[in-house]
Amino acid sequence: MIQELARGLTPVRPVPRLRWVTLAVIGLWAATSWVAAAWLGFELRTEGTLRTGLLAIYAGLGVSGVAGVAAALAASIPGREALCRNALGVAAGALALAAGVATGVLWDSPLVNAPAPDATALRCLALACAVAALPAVAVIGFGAWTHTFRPLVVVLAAAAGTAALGGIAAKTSCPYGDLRHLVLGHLLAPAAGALLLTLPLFLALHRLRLRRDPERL
Amino acid sequence: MIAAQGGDRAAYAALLEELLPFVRRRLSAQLGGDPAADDVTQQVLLSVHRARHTFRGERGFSPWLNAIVRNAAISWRRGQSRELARRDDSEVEALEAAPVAIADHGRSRQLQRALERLPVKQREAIVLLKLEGLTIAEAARRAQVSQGAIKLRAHRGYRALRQLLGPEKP
Repeated sequence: MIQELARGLTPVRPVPRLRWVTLAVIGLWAATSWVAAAWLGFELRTEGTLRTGLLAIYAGLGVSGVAGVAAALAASIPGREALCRNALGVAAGALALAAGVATGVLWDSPLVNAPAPDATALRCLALACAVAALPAVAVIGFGAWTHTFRPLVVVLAAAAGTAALGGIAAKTSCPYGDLRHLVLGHLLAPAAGALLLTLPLFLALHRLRLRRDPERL
Repeated sequence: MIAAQGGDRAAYAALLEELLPFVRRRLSAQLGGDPAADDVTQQVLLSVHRARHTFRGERGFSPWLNAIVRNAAISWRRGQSRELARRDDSEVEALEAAPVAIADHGRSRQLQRALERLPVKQREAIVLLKLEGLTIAEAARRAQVSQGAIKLRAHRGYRALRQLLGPEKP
């Protein structure tokens, strides 16, 4: 068998460093977000937006998103389990911190705008998942290319991480700044992404792996 | 490995030859001496071949290889659990219903010798189920493992015994 493998050997290019792949996925998210915002119209209200509490929520989503993407990419490479575990820890911690700030710091703050109808939260969650789709597919593509041994971790981390970033992007066309809407429509984006995107991403990964290597599966 | 990524077939063959005994030993330890270690070793070599582009020179080779070996062992165990769960329980029921009367078998000494060659956990499972006549539940309690685990151990032990003793069932 060894001779057979050696006979069939072709040169390969090693995968790029994970930091560059992560940056590429973030870049894809930024481009997608810009397109979505341009299409829907920018609704960035600065009034109250720069308040510490709100910034903390966006920062939490941002850190959680980047860490989630990094975890998904790390799960695609054998030997990078420690990085994956650490990144997942950072993602969860950042989200927990953001949630803590949302409830603790902003609880007694006056509302920035009039309370948003609950239906707008669904709209923002849907937008977050829509923006997340393309970067998530890019992460899945990477996982298929590397023949990942941990497809479930890749898919879950990609779904939640890119949706967290989508939660930030959704704010650029969202006029509502009240606490309830921020929690329901933006902070819950990773959960919504995990719920809605996991199955389609898993199927996509399965198909891509099958196409690359039908005998393996 | 870096030379192999560049297409150096001789270096690649030498690397795989060097890896083979190491991987076999690691898997033998991780799979509890199961004869399937040879099959899983081949799977590991295939995985190394397919995933060779994921190795980067600045990180050590061992963590990369160990991760592939570990994942292969985990996949194999999962596959075995699924297969056993799907398997017709008639084999297990037969084990429960028919404790072996060793004295009735002319091959009792051969059976004893074969049992001694089994890994400890598989031997324990067969002794509890076939020789002491315990049910799956009782054997699992005695061995302090789950019923699934005792079934798996008995199944592996039974398969190993079949290989050791030849085509006839013990």
